[in-house]
Amino acid sequence: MFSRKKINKKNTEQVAPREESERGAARASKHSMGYLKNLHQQVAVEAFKNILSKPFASFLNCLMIGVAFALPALLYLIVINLQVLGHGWEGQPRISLYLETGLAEKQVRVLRNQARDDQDIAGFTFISPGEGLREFQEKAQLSGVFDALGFNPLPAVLELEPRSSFPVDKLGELLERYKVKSGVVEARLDREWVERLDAITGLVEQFALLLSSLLAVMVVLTIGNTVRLSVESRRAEIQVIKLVGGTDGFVALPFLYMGIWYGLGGAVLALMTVWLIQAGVMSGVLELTALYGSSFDVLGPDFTLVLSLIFAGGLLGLTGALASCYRHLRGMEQKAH
Amino acid sequence: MIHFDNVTKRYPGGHVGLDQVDFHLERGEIAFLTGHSGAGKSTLLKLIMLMERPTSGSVAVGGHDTAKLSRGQIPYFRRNVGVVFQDHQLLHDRTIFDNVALPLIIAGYSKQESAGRVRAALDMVGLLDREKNLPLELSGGEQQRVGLARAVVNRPPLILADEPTGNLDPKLSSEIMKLFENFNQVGVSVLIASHDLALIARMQRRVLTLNKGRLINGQEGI
Repeated sequence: MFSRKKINKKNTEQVAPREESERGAARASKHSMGYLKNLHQQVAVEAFKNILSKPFASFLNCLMIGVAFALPALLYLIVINLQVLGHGWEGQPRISLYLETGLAEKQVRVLRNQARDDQDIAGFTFISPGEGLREFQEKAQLSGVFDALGFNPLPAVLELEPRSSFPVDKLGELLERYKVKSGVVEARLDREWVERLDAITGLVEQFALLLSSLLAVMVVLTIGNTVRLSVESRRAEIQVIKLVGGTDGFVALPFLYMGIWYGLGGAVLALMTVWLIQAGVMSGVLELTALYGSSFDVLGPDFTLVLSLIFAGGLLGLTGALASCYRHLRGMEQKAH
Repeated sequence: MIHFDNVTKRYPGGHVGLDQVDFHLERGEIAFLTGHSGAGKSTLLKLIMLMERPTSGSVAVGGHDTAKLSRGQIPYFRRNVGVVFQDHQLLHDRTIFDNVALPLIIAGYSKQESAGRVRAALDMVGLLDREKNLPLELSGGEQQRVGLARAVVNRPPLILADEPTGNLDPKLSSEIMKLFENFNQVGVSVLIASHDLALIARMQRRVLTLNKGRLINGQEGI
């Protein structure tokens, strides 16, 4: 009469459903896929409703998790934007030739003609000292400073644009070729700047990784604590479920879903925060890039970021809930005994 | 169905819950467990439910030596024992239907699949028309009957009851006892802990009496 085989479930799992039907409980085969799907669906929905039933407290919880997610997410955005700045800087690095002050018109023309005839140079721009000054005054509102100076300190600049197929490792030679020409004081490759940017980007990236792992621990602890409080408040219910034969898994399932929901809620809030910040920063950046005479879009959260945030939210939520359930459900049992 | 063999339960701190208790409850038997409070009634029931483990001696239930059951097997074991508590232990945020369905849901039935058996159990205790109510909308006697329905919905071969009539007046108490007798008549073993001596006397069944953890009466069946 006592279904012995069901108790020895681990050894004889296949026997359990047959045992059921022997007991006249014909239809349900225990833990069939349909049943599990049904159970998970139901528990997930109930856990979600549970969170919604205390909107303010739940929102604060999600916000705390959201802030923890938003920090590394912002750093990630900074990294990808710096990378775009570095690699997407209109293809080839340019060479800037700073000319002697007061260089005669004729000599400038010689240089321009050389650049025009050079097969390796696709194009060039001449910025006279006067043009340079005007640009500065318009955009940087520094007119006062230059007025006080009484003269124009800016050199004329010839910007050379190497042809797009020019091998990058030969750029140094090209630079030397123009550096030694008469009238040229200094020649610079924009690439130095790009390399420095790359180094900074790398640093920010490492910092973001480090910060992410610290904040991941924080999220796990936060969610673990929230789940612990919920386990405590539902102690009576848990004990009833255990007494009528609920397994640890059955008891823990609502709490695991709770952890997942909190993690996902935090991730969504983090995304919203990041989008808002991006919109705010964007307007500032537009002014800045206008200064450089270039257009540059601040990249918002990309597919990778959205996906990793959602994934991290769910996973860290589950981890926190699992750790908390394991500790507190066991602890509860010992107290009950 | 239940075999206690020289069972002693000593709690940390020295309190002795049970002292060398021997008794058998046969399959299909109904018996009362009595004694003043603190005599060990609850300890005895907890040992059967595996909420406690004996300090020494052996407890076998339904042919299983409970000492051999691992932690993971306990839930499956408990599904074969229906329990009724003095304070009902219903979940107040769920309907009567959901409360009674709980053991079936836990055992792996969907709500649809369990509906028939839930209604049959509710019908047995005369509460078929209250399935949509919440527990607190019911009287104490009705709540206890819901607890009873939940204990039998899984058709367990053994039912344990801990002071099932503790909070009820004599008339309601007799009704509850009548229900236990009904279940017993279809072959279910029943063990009821109670200190209501008058009620027990009226029932004229086997009585196990505990005193300070020792079984002083009723070791052998009538």
